[in-house]
Amino acid sequence: MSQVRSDTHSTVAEGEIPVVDPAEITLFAKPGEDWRARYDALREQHPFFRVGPDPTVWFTRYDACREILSDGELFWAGAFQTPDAPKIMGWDKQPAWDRESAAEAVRRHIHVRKALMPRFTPSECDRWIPRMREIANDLIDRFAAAGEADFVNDFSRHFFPVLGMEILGAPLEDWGRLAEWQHEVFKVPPDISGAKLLDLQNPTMEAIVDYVEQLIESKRSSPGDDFIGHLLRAEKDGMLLPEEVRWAGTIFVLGSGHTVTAHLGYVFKYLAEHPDLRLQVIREPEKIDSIGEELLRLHTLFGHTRTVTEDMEFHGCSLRKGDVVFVCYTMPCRDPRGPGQEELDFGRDSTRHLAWNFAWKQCIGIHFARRARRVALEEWHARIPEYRIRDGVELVEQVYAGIGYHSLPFVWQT
Amino acid sequence: MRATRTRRCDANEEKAVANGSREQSKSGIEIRIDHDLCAGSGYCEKVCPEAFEIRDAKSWVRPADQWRALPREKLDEAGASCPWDAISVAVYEG
Repeated sequence: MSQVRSDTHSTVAEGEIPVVDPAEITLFAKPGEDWRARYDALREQHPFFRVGPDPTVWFTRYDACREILSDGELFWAGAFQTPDAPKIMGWDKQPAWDRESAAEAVRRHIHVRKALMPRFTPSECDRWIPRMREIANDLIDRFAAAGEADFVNDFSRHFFPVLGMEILGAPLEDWGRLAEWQHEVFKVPPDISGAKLLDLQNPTMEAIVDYVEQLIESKRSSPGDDFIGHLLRAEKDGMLLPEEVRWAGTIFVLGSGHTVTAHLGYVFKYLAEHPDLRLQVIREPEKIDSIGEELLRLHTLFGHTRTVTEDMEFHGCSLRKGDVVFVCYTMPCRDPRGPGQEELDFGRDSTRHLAWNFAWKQCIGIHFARRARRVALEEWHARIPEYRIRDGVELVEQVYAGIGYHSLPFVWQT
Repeated sequence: MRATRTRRCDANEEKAVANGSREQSKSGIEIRIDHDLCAGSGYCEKVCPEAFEIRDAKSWVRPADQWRALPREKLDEAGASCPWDAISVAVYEG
């Protein structure tokens, strides 16, 4: 490999994929560090790169990332797996090992999504807004008069997870345990080194899988009007296979908790540091959705990998079947080449960013999450309109898995 | 799940497509796209560009004269490709 350029970020080999120093890609942000600005610089320097010895190819720019996320036939959302391979967790998605099987698996995934959609429509999500307001105010009641709270640990890590447990149909006595699992499952200790990314067999993950499986079985004889009941009726009607019921129930728990928790942390931290925008949230509530969406674009969560299903030239990069590519959402979402992304705009009516993933794997809970964000912003600011981050606090921001801030202490005058 | 169907549409469905796109052929086949659900993934356009086009991050039904001669199966396939279940293809009486 003949090196033709070397700088602080990377080495570039002629005819090869640029290699970035692993020190550029960390699990945690350093105190006060704007790691997203560093990723912006990497995007501008390289449309694609690898990190140290890891063979995964990171794509950085909007168009390429949109194509990767959109085309599940060419970029399969998982590792290759043959039909006879042992299941990892008992709820593995339909296996794919080449382009044809990936295309079939994508079609099946869309079929499964359609079976779930009645529980994720805008009108169904609207039905839960009063309950969202109750949960938000129950939490705020606990600390509003104290003049201080940890936004993450006292509010956001409970708010959406508790709602999710109720929608799921988990018994009330289990909500605390499930919310804790959701918070912990992708969290890594700040002092860890060499952490294994996305460890699917950590104890918390196994606990969630076991719990959901038991919950499904406990409801099988008499399905209720909750999400698990919906899944079981879809299974009975032949819409879903038993393993798809387990998958949907598990993903509901894994996907809903930490993501919204982290997103709200980023939104409220930004507002704590930008009083003018906070005033706009209070005085122009009709702008809350567009403000929240732009803050999501600026502070997206982590990313997803895809497996290449056939050899191809893709945006100037030679990929081989079996290669793994990665979309770290912050890169395409802040790419000024993206539609309307050349400037910060808290008033845009619609957005085409990729923070919710895109197309066949786009977050099915998007309407729930947007409404929950709006409710959290409305109810919090109705009770606590002015707040700031406690002086002298050194925030821990986990980049990996999109966990965001482990703690976010706010203070305000009462 | 939205399925291919032949029947009178109800008030809720009328409301659902109030924010969306719809076109009806002379034979009564109507394609509807609910823009509250559509995320502009473009799969419908990929399967059946004669009937669907993406504009402003949403899918729109093209004028019926551009797709009325197509086999019904192709329209159904395009509807089935939508990850958001935003498309219905049906013969509507109402």
